[in-house]
Amino acid sequence: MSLRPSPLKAALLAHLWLFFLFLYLPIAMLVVYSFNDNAVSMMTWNGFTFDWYWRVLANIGLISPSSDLAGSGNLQLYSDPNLGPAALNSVIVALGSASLATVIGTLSALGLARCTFPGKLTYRTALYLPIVIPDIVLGIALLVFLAALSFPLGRVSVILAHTVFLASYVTVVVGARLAGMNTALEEASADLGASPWITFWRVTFPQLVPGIVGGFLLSVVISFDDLVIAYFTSGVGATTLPVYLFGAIKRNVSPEINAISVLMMLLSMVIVALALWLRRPTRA
Amino acid sequence: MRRLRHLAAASLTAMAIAAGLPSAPASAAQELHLYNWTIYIDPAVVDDFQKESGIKVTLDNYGTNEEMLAKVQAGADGYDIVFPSVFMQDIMSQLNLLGNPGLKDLDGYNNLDQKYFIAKSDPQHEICLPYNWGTTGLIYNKALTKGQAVDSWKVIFEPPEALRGKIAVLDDVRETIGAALVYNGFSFNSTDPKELAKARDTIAKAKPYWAAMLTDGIGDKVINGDFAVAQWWSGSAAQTVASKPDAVGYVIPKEGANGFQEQMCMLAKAPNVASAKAFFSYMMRPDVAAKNTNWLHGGTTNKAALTMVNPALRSDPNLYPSDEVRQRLHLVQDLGDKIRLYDAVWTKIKAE
Repeated sequence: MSLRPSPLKAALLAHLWLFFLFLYLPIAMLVVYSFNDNAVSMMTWNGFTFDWYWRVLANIGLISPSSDLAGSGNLQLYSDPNLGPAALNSVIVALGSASLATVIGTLSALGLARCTFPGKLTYRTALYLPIVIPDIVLGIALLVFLAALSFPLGRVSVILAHTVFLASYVTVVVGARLAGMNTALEEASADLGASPWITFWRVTFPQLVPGIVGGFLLSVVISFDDLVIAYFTSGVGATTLPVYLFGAIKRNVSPEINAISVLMMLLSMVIVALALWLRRPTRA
Repeated sequence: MRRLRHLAAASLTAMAIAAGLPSAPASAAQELHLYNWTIYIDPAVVDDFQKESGIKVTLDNYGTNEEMLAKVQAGADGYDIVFPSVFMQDIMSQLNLLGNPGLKDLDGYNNLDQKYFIAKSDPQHEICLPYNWGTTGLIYNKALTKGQAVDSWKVIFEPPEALRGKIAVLDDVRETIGAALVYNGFSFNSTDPKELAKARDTIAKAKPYWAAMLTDGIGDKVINGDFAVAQWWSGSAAQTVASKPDAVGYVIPKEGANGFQEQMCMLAKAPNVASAKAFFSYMMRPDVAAKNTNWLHGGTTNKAALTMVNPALRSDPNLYPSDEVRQRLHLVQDLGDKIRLYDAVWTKIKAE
């Protein structure tokens, strides 16, 4: 084996590095600018400060706005008190709807893979509808539906609305995982006398976990990103971050958004770390 | 037997969830739900109202009139007060979406200045409170435009050599086509196909010299020098100018401009009518109106508040134009079906 990589390998390595740079350099800049002490011109470096983070924490109510940390500096003037709560709403909605959707979607996928029932083909086709329908159609339809039921609009309505289309995504992801799974293990478990309940939890579920976790994470991302459906189905006090930013960019967005983005990133890293830890190989 | 137990457990859980879900807030404290444009009311003004009256206020946001109309029309209730533009107030009145708080009987009604833009359906300001007005003019980078004349739409539609490629225009059908119409001496709300064709040609000729057509992030880019001149709304522009007065400036072009005005209206289905009326009275107070205007950097419609408005804003002829300039401001009117003419022009412009 040669010690120097061949030209082809070197080119591939270079491409890989460029790709990662392209992907992560903007994020790195975001992190850097979140410590920038310049409230007026985000791009010019003025000095290092934690002030933006204290403002965000004050705006979402974790520290008192009058405490020394949050009140210091002139950044208070440029802080937007609605950004933090909107981001918090987005996180709650994303986690809530993703959890619900994962449960419903997994059950759906299992049912489609393991059972036969009348209307199965129709159900399978209808499953793809929420993925294919344009967001705005779904958003207005859901709003009209909720209004007809006199369901009070708020954060719960957004969570339910998101669950509607996220469940389809999860069903597809988990269904793909199920399709690739070997049923021999399940049959063996049944042959050895385990009830369907035990077979599911001890044999099927552990094999499905990567698909379920993948579906959950996908749902979180899609829900967080969603603008149109969240706009139409949100109610009082439930403005999510994309909805807020959509209006805010026409005016001036406070540089606080950098600090919020970094905090979001940390949160998602924590979630992924948790998911990986749950999937760690345990002693059989 | 086991199956029955599972069934019982499942149905109990379902009932518990159903019972817990739609819970109408039966709180004793009064509430008020505002539905406003983003960054369009001073948070301190809202906080002061909460402290004074004890009414809990929530603030939600939308980005355009049409979004708000779509949501309210489709049945979203829970909001008490919305902030439509003048022409949108007329539309909503026709659709019976607005409630009448009877402003004439509330304190402070006489503080309102009658000379600002008036909604056709509400000439006496009895249903909606004129909230804030402004103009769509030009924000410019002082260093890059040194020695150039920026007080005319000419800098957008026939830019000088030095500024080509550094012009930004709003990505908005009415604003951009309207500016071209005004530049050619026509009305901002013209529906004459010949005039629209001329406007389309003006835009097509100027488009190669434009850097961008956009509605977001304009302030930063003018400060940075990415744009030398940009079409923008006076409030946002004034806020940007106030943060860096020696770098940027705002001007109303001399041919005329779009004058916009937002009204504060109560919805017909508002759940908290008493709180809404209290808020209307509060906003008509001169000190509150002045505080809000100083934050918005817009134009106040409250004549008693004028003395309390920040003198730097009050004396700026571009924020509080003289009567003579005001004659050249056109209020955006709803065009009904004729908007199709504008759409056709817009599609052509965007496609080339």
